[in-house]
Amino acid sequence: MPYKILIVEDDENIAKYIHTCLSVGGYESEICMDGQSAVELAADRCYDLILLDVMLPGLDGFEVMEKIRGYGIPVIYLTAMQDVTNKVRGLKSGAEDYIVKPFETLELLARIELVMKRHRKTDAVLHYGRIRLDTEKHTVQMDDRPVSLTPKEFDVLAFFIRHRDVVISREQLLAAIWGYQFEGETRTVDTHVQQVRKKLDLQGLLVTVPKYGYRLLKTEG
Amino acid sequence: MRLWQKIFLLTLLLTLLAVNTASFVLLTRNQANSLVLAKEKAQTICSSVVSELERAIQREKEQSGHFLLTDQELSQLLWAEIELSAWEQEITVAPVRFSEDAKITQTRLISSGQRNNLIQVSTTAFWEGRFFRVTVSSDVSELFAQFAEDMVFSQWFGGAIALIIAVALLVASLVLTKPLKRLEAATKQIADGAYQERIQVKGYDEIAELSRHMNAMSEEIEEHVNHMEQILKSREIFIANMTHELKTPLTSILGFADILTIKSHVSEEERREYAAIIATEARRLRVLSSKLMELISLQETALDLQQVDLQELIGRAVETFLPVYTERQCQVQTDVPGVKISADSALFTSLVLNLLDNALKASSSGQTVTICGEEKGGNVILQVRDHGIGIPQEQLAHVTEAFFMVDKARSRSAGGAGIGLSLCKAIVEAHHGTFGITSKESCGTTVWITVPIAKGGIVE
Repeated sequence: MPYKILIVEDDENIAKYIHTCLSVGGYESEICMDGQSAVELAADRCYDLILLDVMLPGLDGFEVMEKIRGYGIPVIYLTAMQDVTNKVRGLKSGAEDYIVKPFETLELLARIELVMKRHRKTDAVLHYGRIRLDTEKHTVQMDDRPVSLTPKEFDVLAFFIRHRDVVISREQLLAAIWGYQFEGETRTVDTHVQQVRKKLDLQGLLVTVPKYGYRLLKTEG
Repeated sequence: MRLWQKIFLLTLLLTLLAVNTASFVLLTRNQANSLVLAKEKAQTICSSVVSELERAIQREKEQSGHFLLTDQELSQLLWAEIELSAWEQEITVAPVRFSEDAKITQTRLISSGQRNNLIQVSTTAFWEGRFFRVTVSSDVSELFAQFAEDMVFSQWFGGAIALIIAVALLVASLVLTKPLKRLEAATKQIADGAYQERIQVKGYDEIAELSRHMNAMSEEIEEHVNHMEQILKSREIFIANMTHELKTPLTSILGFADILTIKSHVSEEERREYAAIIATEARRLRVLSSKLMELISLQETALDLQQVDLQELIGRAVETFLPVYTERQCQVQTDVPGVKISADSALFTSLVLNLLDNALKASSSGQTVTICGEEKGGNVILQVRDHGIGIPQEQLAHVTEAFFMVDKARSRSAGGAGIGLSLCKAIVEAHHGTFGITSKESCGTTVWITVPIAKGGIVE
């Protein structure tokens, strides 16, 4: 069952954008435009995560946080304010993370995934066709036969399976797997992707998007 | 050293000095007088001793019938006389050879140590053909002892008096400087940043006067500090709002562009929708940036002031806006006198356009917007009136704040950025005019502007 996320954002277009982002990441989401109804919705329904804008009409994000803290739902703040005091205040109020607008789709998804992992809401075991990937034990099996991967190859595969059907650029892969500080060339990415493709027999599924990056196609069924 | 310490020490020293000097002078004078008296007394005794002895010699001569007394008789007689008569003073009689100076009566003060002071009076007598030196020694040690005792007493007494006076003055100075203490405490608090602190003022002396001035000063400081804080706060709010207003459209633009890039299957319908959102938000950003530029350049560049005919300027502005009004099926009525004002033509046109735009946004189709002007005491009052939705009373005070929107959703859908009115206000103020808004919900809004008419600018 997909996870349900509540989006609290007063700007219609941004709310729509976040909704689209989440659907790309395979999450279900609901939109709510002001603080008061956010508090009511959080009380009524079971959400796995709340994305909360700070500048809201009526109750602002911090006030909403005060009221919904007791429900134990992880909260990520979304805000235009990037000064440290606000960030500290946000994190101190019990939020899991603090994302400054504007942000990119993959960044948002990565942060959500981290929070989910912290709350043990992500599956430890990922499936893709004949492939079974255990993120806790760091093992990969294909048709119940273990496949040996280097740690980086493992991360690349897990990233593609988590973001299946999403076009991922080499730079994004570099940032996600090797970290932003890694000054390596995008060719490193290509080598790893080729290795993964070869070892797991993913020719035709892990496709190259010309001049951009790669995409792992959806499996049928 | 504190003030009270200074007062205490100074009075102590000065009184000590004064009292001791006075008593010293008095005691010394007294002593001198006493000595003079004692000397006179000794001299009297001396002469009476001489005459007494002379009488005794006469008596002896009469009794014995001798014409002259022998040396032995004489010395026996003198010795007996002196021994028998009960003189307090020590008296000696000694035969001397005659000498000129020995004739004179001499008075001497002989001091040998503190306890042994004598007044010695000696004179020469001539009895029975022989000279005798008669000396009377009077003991005046008592006088000196008394003097010394009095000196010591006066010193102690003077010290005590000085101490009493000093303590009295100390108490007085503490009482008098108490308000100074309060003043000091209050100024310290003010200096530490408690600008709302005031000093309690009692009476009309110099300290009260000073306190009043201090109060006036801290009031002034408090006012300034509050003013500065207000400016700082409004600037912070301005920047926070600006960031928010810039980032909101940016988030949508970047976000949907990102979605279009990474999403593998985008339907034709979705693609159109996303592109439309990107275009709308980009337009919003354009409006915002141009208005912001205007607002900022208004604060930084000097106005290009020229004599402008108000009627002409408004006529042109209305003309440019007319197509938009016609599209919304609204009318504009103008009734502006032909006066000349000293204005920056481009800025003033932008002001009128902004107001026309606002009025149209508030109106529903079929309504009329009126621009009328009237001259009053060297000024021209310009009113832009609509009969639209109006502004709620409690929000009226905020509408000229940058980025304030009464209804965000409505304002954004109409392409507003929330800085139109603050821009208008800034333009009017740059022209030394005043700006105000009156409004009633669902009845309409009137924006009025007062600007001075240029000298000799009234056209007949």
